[in-house]
Amino acid sequence: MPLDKQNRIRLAVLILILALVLFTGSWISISLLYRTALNEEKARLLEIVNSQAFVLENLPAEMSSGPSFLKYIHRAYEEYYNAGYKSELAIGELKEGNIVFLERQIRKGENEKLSIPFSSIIAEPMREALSGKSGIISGLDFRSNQVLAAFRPLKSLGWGLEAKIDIRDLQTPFMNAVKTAAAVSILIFALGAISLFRTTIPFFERFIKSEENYLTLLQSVKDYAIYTLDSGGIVTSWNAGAENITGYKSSEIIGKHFSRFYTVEDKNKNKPEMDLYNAMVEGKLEDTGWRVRKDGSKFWANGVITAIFDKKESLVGYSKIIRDVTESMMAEKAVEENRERFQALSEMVAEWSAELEINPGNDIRTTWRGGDFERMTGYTSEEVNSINGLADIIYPDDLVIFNNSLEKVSRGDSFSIEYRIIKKSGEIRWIQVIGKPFKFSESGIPIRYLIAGSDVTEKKMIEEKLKTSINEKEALLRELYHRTKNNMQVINSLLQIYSLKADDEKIRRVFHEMVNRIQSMALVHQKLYQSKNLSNIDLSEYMTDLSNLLLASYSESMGRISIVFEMEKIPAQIDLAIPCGLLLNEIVTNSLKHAFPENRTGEIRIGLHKLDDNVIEMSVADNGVGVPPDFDFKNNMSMGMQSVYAICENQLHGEVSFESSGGVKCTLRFRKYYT
Amino acid sequence: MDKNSRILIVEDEAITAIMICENLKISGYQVIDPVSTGEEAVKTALLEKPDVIFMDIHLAGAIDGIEAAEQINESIVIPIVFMTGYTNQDFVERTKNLRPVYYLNKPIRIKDMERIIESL
Repeated sequence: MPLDKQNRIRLAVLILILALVLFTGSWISISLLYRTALNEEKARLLEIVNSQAFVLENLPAEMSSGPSFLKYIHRAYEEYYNAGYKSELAIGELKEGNIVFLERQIRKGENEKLSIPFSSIIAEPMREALSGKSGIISGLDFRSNQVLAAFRPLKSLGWGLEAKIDIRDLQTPFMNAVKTAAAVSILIFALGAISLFRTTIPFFERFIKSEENYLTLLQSVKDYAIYTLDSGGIVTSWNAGAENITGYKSSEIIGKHFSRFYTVEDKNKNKPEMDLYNAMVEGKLEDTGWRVRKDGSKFWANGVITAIFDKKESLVGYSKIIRDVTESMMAEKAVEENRERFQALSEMVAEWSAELEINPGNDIRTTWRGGDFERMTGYTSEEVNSINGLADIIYPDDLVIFNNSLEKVSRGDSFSIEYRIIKKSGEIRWIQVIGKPFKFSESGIPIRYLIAGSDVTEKKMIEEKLKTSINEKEALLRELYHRTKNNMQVINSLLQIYSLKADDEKIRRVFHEMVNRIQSMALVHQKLYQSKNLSNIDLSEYMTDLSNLLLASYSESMGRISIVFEMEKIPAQIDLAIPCGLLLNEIVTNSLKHAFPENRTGEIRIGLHKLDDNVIEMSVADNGVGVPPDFDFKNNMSMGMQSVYAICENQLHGEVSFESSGGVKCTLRFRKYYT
Repeated sequence: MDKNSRILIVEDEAITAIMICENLKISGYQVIDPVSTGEEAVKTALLEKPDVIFMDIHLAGAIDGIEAAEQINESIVIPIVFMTGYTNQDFVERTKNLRPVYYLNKPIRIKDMERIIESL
């Protein structure tokens, strides 16, 4: 802040006063010296007067009575300067009412006798002496000069004696000193003023401005709380940043103890006091932790408490700089939590994990390892570092699997592989390694991979056992179907053998139909043991084969009757396939037997469709001779056709319908899954 | 081949074998007594030198029908008709070097047997 005119005048007056004080002091000192000198001069003049009076009054009478006495005195005093260069001795007598100066130790050219009326106001010291008095006086001498003079009468001679000095001569050096002091004071005033206004004030103004700038800077900083505490922890200064961060205004917080920024838990542990103590002992203290705002909310503070000492190394207080790093702390915390989560997750899903860096030229390096690689492989961490991850300990037969995975890595594909490793102990273990790229270059090339490995030997063994068990069960089931089919085939063979022995055509026909029925069931078992899953067969394929077998079994129909299939693939389990086979067998047999008499030609159309997810429609239609218009299918049918109703309605909970129009069409609808 | 052809049936299911033999006999063919193992098949084939062999694949004994056919083929050329429930890749691979060879799907129909015999 620059000085205004009024302050400049004040400063000038102050300098003037100082100069006056200096002058006054000098003047007083000089005055004291002058008084001392005056007293000394008085003593000296008295000494001179008394000593010379003693000499003159004690001269022998013959000397003092003669006429030449004055000449002797004159000669004696002519070169006498005991009174000093500026002082002089004078001898006078009273003669005819006048003061006559007999001898004056005066300056050259003034040595004539001088007579001055006794009543004159001048020659005051001699008049006193001639009046019989002695002493010292300051008065006018015979020249009307103000002098300091000691005087006494010379009674034996009837004269008066005085020793005097001009007051002016006495005062001159002191007056000169006073003038010098005044000059020095004026000089000091002038130099002081010049120095003050030209140098000191600008310097201090710059200094003050710098201080002000610094303070303004501190005050205006908003991202940092900058404040000071006294030695007891009371807030003594407060900046905008402190207000911004804590919510306290300067007027609210200055004078209050800084512990209010601490949490209750910290206060209970005396942390505020401990922080100040540690800052005092160490000089400063890194200060990080939860702090409390005015509104009670918390923020994560990071800063420094610095102890401030004076020149005597006494604690003056503390400065404190704090930053609100809640967001960055939360971000770091989130990163840390993610890291921990990732760590936990990787340990949950794998015993060991690693990060691979893919460099140009397919140079693959391991940049990070997690988990317990040692436990999995038996190799210590030093040994792990000396080998190239798993590559060096892979079971030789499985190297191709590992190398395939490396190719996938270089292509940026994910992979999951299982292969064997040879542990340090020599034990062979199965491990599973999964890998996935997670970082790509700008051109989309994978540059970072995460891989995770686990010992899956036990799982592998269980899988092998399970696989073996399943294989055994499959083989058993397949064998069961096969045996069942073979047994049915044996029954058929037996029936056929007995049929050969039968003479009656009707009996042979019954045998033949029975053989076909058994064959329809045997074919299901054959299809089942030929199927992949041993539980489902394709109903359309089964019905096609069965129809062809039936057609072939009626050799007389071969060549005249053809079968046309309009079917879609429908998977069926054994409990559906067998009734379907029996149904088809009866209906197709019926058509073969009755629809084309007298060697007629024709065709049988067999349909199989899925009406919705659960309803199947099976149809057999011939273009044979048909039936009379009023024919009652249900009540005029053979045993075989009656079984169609029984199977479809009672077993499959479906429905049967017949229609006759240029042949007979039988349509069956039933549910795929029934109870 | 005519009705005088001599036929060997190799079938481990005795009833089925009898049924086939009876049917063929009724049809007028000369049928050698059926055998049920691969070893017997080889032995009987080399001994009886039938005109055609109907060979089941799954047989009792140490060798199956294909191996028995191979052994027979090493010594003598006899048409062999394999009677099989279904043909898979393994079957095709194993029988591809055998000549002459035919396939007949089970269940066996005498008409099919007769058709093959007549075509030989």
